[in-house]
Amino acid sequence: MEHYFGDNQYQGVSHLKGATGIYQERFSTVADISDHLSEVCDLGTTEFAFTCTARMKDAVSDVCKLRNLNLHPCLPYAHDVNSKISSLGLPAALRAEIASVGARNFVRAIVEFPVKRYQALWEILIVSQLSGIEISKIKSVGLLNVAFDFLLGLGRYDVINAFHCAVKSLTGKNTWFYTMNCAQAIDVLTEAKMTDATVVSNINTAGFRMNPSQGQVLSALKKANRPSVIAMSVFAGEGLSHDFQKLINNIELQGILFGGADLAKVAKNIEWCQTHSRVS
Amino acid sequence: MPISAVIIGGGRIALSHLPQIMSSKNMYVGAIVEPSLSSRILLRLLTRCRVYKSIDTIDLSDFDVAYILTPPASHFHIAQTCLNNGVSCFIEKPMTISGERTAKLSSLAREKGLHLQVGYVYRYHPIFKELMKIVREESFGKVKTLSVEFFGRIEKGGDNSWRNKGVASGCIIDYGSHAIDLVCAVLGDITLVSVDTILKEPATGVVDAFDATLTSQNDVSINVKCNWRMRNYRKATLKATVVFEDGTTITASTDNTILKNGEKLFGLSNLVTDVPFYLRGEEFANQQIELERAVRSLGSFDCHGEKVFSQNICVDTVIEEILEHA
Repeated sequence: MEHYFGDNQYQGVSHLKGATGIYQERFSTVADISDHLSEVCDLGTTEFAFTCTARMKDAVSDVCKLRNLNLHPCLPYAHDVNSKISSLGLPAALRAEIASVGARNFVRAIVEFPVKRYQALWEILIVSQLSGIEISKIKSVGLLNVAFDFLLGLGRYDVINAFHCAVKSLTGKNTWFYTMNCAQAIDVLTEAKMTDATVVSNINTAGFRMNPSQGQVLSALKKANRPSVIAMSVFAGEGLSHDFQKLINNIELQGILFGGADLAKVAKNIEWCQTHSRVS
Repeated sequence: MPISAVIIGGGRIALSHLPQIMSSKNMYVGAIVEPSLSSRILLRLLTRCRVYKSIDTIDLSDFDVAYILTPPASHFHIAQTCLNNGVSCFIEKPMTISGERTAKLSSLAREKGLHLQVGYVYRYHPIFKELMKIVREESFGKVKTLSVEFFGRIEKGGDNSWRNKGVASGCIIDYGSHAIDLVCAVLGDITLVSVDTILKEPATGVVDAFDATLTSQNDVSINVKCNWRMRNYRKATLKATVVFEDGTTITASTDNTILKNGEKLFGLSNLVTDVPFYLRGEEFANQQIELERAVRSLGSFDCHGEKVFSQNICVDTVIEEILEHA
């Protein structure tokens, strides 16, 4: 089973263990991150999914000088989005974003809007967020749940589709959609014929954040002609284990996304993935 | 028939509520009211809902519920107008900035048989619901002391929001209301004993931190500490520590764990947290579910609602008293 290494520990995010403070201290510099990531690469990881922040892009750039790593950047950084909108309000936050992508690029997107609609806006945002990342190493571009689930809730499937089209037109690569609403995401993407996209969502034995319920998510996963799915938050409950294997019985998964600060545990999880196939 | 909603206030918190509301098959957003033209344009583009400049331009009686998501100083008048038009209200916290006004709104809602709910979202957080259950069932005996901390890091540069200017500015209202409501949710009505520390930003006089002592109706000693200028906090974190008579300490936190005497008792993944739609957290979804339940059961006596009315008044009274010290 393919494994993808994630960056939650580098961002100080710890949904299950309450280790936020520990992670923030351990990975406080770019060198801390790139050193750890290099060691993870040496354990056999070749795929890395990360949020596009300046810090992460610097760390990735360092690691890629000496190691072969396929990159799966995703956007936007939730903390930045929340912070900007909280302190500036939505219109001013958008103006700040326009300033960061450049007024000329924004005008071009507006000119193209009648034809390309939201794809034009996504394209300038994606180009801005991916700047500094070696394009040849990018294998997918992801839309994080802060944005995807926001649009899903509003019913703006057209804007989601526009992101998908923007990624394809700019990079020719796969689109990943991160979501806490797996069943609905699969249904919406299938209905909108975005079955070449990938859904990244929680799948674990505890049913942790498998919404609306573990049962409904597993049913959605068994549907034919659906988008690919990558499992994340797999350590809630029994972790990567015989029980997990049983849970995903007869379900095809593209792979598993996990992070971790403890290299021994990361090694063990990599080994599990290497010894288990994508279809049970 | 879906519940018809009007959203009053199209700022930051509206962006958290709108997807939660619009994703629900039980809800229909009939209108959004927002005074800023640029915000109205963006909201119209995003939501495809009808947008209006003020509540004077809509017929409030068309709606079952109003989500009042405006700055706190405006809550009383808007809520009073809505209730007088037969519209139940969800109001972002605090309900008002005066215990007396909160009591008036509660009384009006009761008289009209309408639902009144405040956005004290942590009441609906699975970890804190579990804590409330432990206390209610006296799983570890009676409560001796309770301390609540709400720490975070607000970015101040360029912030012209109501958080930093005006009568409702400062962390007493923004953080304190959440912390004090959690105390009420765990222990019931409380009274202020003393305000022990107030820290203000020298340039603006805005309160950045405070520390207060309170007591419950059955004499439990309570300490509340809030600080929104903690550098090492990536996001706002609410933590409640309860000491029981038998010496057990339980700490519950938005880090999604409950510790007993320092050891992990359980985490979020040990609880059933399924929600129909997840955006910012289970607590937001659970809060919405409660609103829908309450609006659908209008007319039937709701003792839970009565208890919460009392606690809302209590929170705003205590907040008002702390503000007097600032």
